[in-house]
Amino acid sequence: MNLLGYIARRLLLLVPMLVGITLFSFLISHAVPADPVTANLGEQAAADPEVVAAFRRAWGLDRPLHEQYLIYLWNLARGDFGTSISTKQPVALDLRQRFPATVEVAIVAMTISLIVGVPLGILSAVKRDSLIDQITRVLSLVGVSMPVFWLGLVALVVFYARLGWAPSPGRLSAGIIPPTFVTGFLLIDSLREWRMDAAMDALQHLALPAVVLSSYTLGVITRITRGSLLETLGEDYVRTARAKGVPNLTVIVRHAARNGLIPVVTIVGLSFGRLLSGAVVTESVFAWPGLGLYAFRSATSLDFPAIMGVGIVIASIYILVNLVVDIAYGLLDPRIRVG
Amino acid sequence: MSASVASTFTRVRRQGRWAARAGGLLAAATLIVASSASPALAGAAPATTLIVGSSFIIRSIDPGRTVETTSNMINHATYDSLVTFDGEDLKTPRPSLATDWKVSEDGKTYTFKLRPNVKFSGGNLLTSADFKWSFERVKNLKSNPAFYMDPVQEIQTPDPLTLVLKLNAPNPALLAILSSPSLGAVDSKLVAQKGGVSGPEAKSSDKAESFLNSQSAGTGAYILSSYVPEQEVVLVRNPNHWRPAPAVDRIVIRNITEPATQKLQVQRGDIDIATALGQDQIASLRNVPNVSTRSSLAATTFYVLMNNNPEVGQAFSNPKVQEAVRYALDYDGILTIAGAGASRLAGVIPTGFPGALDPKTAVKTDREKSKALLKEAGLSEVKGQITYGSDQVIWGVQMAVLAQKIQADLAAVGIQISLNGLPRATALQSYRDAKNQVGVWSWAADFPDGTNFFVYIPGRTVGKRAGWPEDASPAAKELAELARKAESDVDDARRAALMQRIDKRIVEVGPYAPLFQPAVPVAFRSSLKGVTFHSVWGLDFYTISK
Amino acid sequence: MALNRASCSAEAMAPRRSTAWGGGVLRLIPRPFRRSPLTVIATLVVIIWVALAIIAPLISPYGPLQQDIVKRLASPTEAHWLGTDMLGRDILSRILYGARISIPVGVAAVILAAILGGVVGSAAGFLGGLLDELMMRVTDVMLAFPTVILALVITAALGAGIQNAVIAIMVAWWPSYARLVRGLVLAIKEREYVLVARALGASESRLLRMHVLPNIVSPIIILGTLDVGHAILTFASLSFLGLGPPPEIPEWGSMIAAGRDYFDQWWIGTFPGLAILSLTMAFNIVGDSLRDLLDPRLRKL
Repeated sequence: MNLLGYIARRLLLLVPMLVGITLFSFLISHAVPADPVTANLGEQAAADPEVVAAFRRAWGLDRPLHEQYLIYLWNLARGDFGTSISTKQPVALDLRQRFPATVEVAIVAMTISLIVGVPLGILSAVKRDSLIDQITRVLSLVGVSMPVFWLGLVALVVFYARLGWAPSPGRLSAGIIPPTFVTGFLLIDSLREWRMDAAMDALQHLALPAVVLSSYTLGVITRITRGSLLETLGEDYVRTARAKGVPNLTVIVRHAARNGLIPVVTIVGLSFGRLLSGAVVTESVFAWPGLGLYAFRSATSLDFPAIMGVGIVIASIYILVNLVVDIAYGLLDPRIRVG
Repeated sequence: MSASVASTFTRVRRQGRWAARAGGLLAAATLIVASSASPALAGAAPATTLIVGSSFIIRSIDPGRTVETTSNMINHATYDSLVTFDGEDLKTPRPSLATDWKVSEDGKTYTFKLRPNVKFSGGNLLTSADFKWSFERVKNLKSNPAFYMDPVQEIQTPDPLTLVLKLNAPNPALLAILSSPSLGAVDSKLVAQKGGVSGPEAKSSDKAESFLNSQSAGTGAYILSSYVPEQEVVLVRNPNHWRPAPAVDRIVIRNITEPATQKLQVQRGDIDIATALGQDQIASLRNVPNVSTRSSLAATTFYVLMNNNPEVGQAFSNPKVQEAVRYALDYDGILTIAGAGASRLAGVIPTGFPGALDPKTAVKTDREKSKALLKEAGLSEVKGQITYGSDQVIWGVQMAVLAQKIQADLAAVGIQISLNGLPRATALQSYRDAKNQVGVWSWAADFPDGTNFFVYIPGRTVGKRAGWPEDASPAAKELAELARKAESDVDDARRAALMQRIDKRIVEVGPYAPLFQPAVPVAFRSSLKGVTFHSVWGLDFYTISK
Repeated sequence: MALNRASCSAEAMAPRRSTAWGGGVLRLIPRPFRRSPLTVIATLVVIIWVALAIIAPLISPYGPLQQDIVKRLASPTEAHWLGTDMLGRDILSRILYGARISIPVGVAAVILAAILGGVVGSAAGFLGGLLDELMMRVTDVMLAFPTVILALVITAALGAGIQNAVIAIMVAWWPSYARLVRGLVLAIKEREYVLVARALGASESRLLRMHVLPNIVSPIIILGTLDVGHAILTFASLSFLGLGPPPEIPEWGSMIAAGRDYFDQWWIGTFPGLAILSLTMAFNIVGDSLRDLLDPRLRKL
């Protein structure tokens, strides 16, 4: 009952949070000094005041601010995010087309971080102060201190320009015909059609951006895992188990890791936000057509509906991921359930 | 557990871990290498596909609404106009959908004979009514290309294969204007069905844009098959085209924003043609095997703009300061940035058009003279701000780099300007609102005629942006009069001489410092034939073969 | 930001003895610094960078804005140790002058965020009630925006430039500090000595000044130090996207961005990145050690 109550409470809080986010997005994107109207018409047309007026009317830019917000909210509730001034498509469509790209690379990046980071962290904790430990600590430190965009560029120069191992930036090679857009996730869509060539190509293109994007979270997860495990390894019940003659492996896996990994779960949620942030620069470097690049382009071209839309979607993804993480945390840590 | 057993256990486990990790990395590496080494796995591309790298500047592909370069390139392939220009020519209009034309004595009536039996991609037959509809739609949509129709007073269609245009005044540039892809023949029946409107109410009631952004309705050699904004455009061969079939069946135009990436891709053969390279990237491609480059001059003027309006320009509205700026700039250095093949501009009309001035007569750097002029103006130190598009790369020239060069040049004579780089959208607005104190911009020819560059005349588009109205001074008024005369003069030789005079005068009294005209940075695989790059519409896909 | 706090170091596991003030200067150096050569190196790196930043005008071979078009895009040579960029400017000089921007910006952003967040957080924690609830909701919403996205939109709205970038980072980070300080204040409020002081009749402001504030300053300083590196990275990211200072200013992030178009002239983008990496790593290590020294409890925050 308590767990269900906990989940229910979190879900209820979601609604005002989302409303708050829309308000925040709206305020921010309207605190803009420049007028996007004339920026989106050609050289000669912008000189015609009639054309400009028609444009403003079409985009509701001539109504007072609070009215614009309410209209926006009403449309949002019906799934209409407005129309992007740059792409002329509904923002919802823009977001739908781009969101799988970002989520794909973020998930792969997070997976890499976990698959490599957790074992490394455990190893580092178990073999404390050994060479492995020292190297791991330095490498994870490098991971959290390195500018992601710089790593991306260096990786491109080395693996693409010099060595030719990685394919050119983008999701698919130009010669490959993309699979039909069903989910937008290239791996899923190509496998659906049994297009192994497209799937392999997509995977190849995912490799470098995902590895680059994972650098920060990899560092963090390694450090957290290590620290957390060091703590639990020093706990009484672990020493007791060891004293009782329980094999070391069992001690680590069954006793220390289970408790030690709980903080890691929380970190996964928090660092997903960092992944989404890092996606902006990474997508910029790798010409990856995802939400990050869209956010950057719409912010610099003052595309109000797009700025609001992408801000809301990214924030929502982050909230949902953290909700899932909190629930997982609740499942793992019995203290939460009771408390 | 004993210590030794424990340590053995740990060692084995550690080795096991290492082995597992190494194995995993090896597997991943093999996977990646193997996949890239087996092109046979690649999806079978239909017949011949041409892959073009571009940096998209597309707000719309609807011919009635666009004049952007990338859209022009697409529409030049999917629509045909009355006349066209071959290859990179800017001088001689050639028949396209019009087989023949006559101009009346007074220069105010143009009669075109249309090509018979031409079908649109959708199957409908081309008639003069389609041209009338298309032209009126362009005019009434009041969007970017609407000004093309300004000289036209009336459009008549005496029979399905004859089109008559009646002008307000003689306009020798008309044929050049009519070559624009925006004035191509649009399938009026089909587009009207999809919500297209050509009448006076078109501005508010036309709904055909989204249709035309996803599918073309023209007579061109190719059909627009798909358009994913900011990503790619796909064109496929038009089976109904009136000319013999082109060599390439499918064209994929990809948006690759990074010039460095485009360079690598064309070097590798990942793309066939790269149209958005930087001047510095092109330089390093000239000696690469299997890659060819073109270096024809672009019909674009790069210039420094100063604001003549004392409120905005302040010190820069002073003619002596403007002249000082012209002498302060290091043109040799600026030409280095403009890239190999660039040409210095003595005036605002680019080389290749009648009226262009000899680059040798251009202003030469003279820092001493510049400082003397500033002293004459009674100013020891001048402060200002230069506005430009921070992310703009035009014909491979990064405006941000150019602006920094100008900043350093002016600092050398005591003029301190700060950089006001804004994203393209915001910068453009400031420019159009005539709020630039100093700016560095370019003007690309909308149509291949020198009179297009009369925008610099006081009171016209660029003149207004520089705060230079017709009544600013007697000299300005005189210039405006001369321009009107030149525009309606039907005698070519007289017109050319007049335009040269105007060009010279603009530089003498105007708030501009013309800089250069760059060479178009296009690189392509050497195995391709027939690659040309026209200043107005870029690649002509019809002539390319692989 | 919470991620930094939750990271850890082995030094903390060592049992802590009371400091002995006799017997040799070396004993005066705090334990974490002595135990790990890495920490010593890191501290030196920070000191060296700060020193370089201060004396840059004296030791730079060229001016940061000095252009030499003829020598543009030159590879590292004797004349230009790290090569020149697309306008012929010396990369080494620009990196040295870049430190004069990155370091103060990193520190300023953190200080401003900490002050704003600290004030709001302590007010909320101390006063409680509606103000507290309101602050919690506002910070919830703001924390839901990944930092760079938020900073991106703010800088795009305000315009590019160093000041606006610092403001953007401050606006994006103060919620974390506010939440942290609020938590600390709440914890301290219930401590015995506060209850005793209150029982003895101390006023609210006196309580705040004498008891609460001194105890929250230390954690903030630690986390601030850890965050300076992060601030430098975030600012470099914003500059990389074009939202920082104008391009002639030698900011490391925008220098890397300029290097994007020049894969062949790798020196343009690589060296500034190494500068950022070394400085951020150094700050992170120093911050780690500072935390281990002053309060290992923060490891799990």
